[in-house]
Amino acid sequence: MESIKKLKFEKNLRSGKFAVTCEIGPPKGAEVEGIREAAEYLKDVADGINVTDLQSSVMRLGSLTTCHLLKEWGLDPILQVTCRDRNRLALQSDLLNAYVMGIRNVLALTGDYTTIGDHPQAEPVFDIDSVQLLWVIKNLEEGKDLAGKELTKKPSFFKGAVVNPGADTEASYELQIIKMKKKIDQGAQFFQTLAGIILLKSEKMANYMNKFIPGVFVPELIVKKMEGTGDKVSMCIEIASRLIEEVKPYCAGVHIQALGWEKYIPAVVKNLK
Amino acid sequence: MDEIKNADSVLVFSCGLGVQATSAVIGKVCYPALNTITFGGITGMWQGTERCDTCGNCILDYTGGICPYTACPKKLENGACAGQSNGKCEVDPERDCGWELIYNSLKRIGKLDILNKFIPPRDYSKILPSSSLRKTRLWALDEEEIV
Repeated sequence: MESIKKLKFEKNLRSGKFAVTCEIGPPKGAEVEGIREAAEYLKDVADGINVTDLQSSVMRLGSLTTCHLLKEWGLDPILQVTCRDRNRLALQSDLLNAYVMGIRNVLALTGDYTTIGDHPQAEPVFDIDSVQLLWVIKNLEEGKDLAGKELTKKPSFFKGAVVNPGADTEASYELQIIKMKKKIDQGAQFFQTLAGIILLKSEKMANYMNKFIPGVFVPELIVKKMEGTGDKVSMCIEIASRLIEEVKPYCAGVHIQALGWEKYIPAVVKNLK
Repeated sequence: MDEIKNADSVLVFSCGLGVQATSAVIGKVCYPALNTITFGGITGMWQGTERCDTCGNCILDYTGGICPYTACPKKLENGACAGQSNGKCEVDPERDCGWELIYNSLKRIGKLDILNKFIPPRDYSKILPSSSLRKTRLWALDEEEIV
């Protein structure tokens, strides 16, 4: 298990290769055939696979188990860890769990609020925030837990964090930058944008995201393009490829969110290689 | 008044509500001189208590006199999440993003550099059990009636 494509994501990112990360959202239920199929499409095109942690506060299969499966299937997973559902005890324990399972990439996030999901009655935890979560990981790597107690073995991670480039007020923009610096101070080694290149399936999807997904905004021009085409798949691939070409000079890689259209990702990144 | 005007900062001996009320008025960094864990005792004139979490971890001097535990539903201590939209909160679009308020408050008094400081997690052992279970003033009155 340890030998398969170990640390592909970190290795490629460090080598300066334009990295491609994709995303797998665990299923609602115990059926893992869907993610196995998605993993098959992504295996050769993605350097790392982000696995969301109860994305949009919707109850589903956990990130940790899904990461473990992806590793077994030969991919390099990026464990997303949010602060919404676990207190500092559970978070530290899950980080140890991840390390023991051979998972090395961790992405620290705050997490969406509980009321936007399918269990609005749930208690939101938010015991610590995303900057503090990176600090917690740093502590564990130094062999200490948050109570200052010694660990029997030090875990080690490739630590990531998110930043939202779509901030729309002076305060929110400045706060994103300040928080980004704080995350670097607390050990963040790579950054991913909160939303990546989302494969747009239809104008309806664009309108839905604009209305309901915090931090996501699809420009009118792109919505119109989608409206005006009969071939949604080709248009989707065209929009995504263009976006990637345009952002390429400014970043170390792209994060592609296929949301079920994983089979089209190879076409989207075809021109990159 | 002149003394306050000439001061660099002000030390406020009150619960978190008083620190926030003072900060909002005087435009200087207000340091909480107390670390509120209960509203028991003599109450001030501020209507309502929702702005102070009585948590015993007061950081109002770092946040421009606006409490991130009560102004932000996620209780974030080190800056805004990415869920805000046009300065409004992800949880309720009618509500201002607490961190937007904190940023603007610190900007107004020229202390934005405070935001670079890392704030460690709060110590919940200071407030368990909850403050409502520790309102000794009311409890004492109850006791008296029984006797």
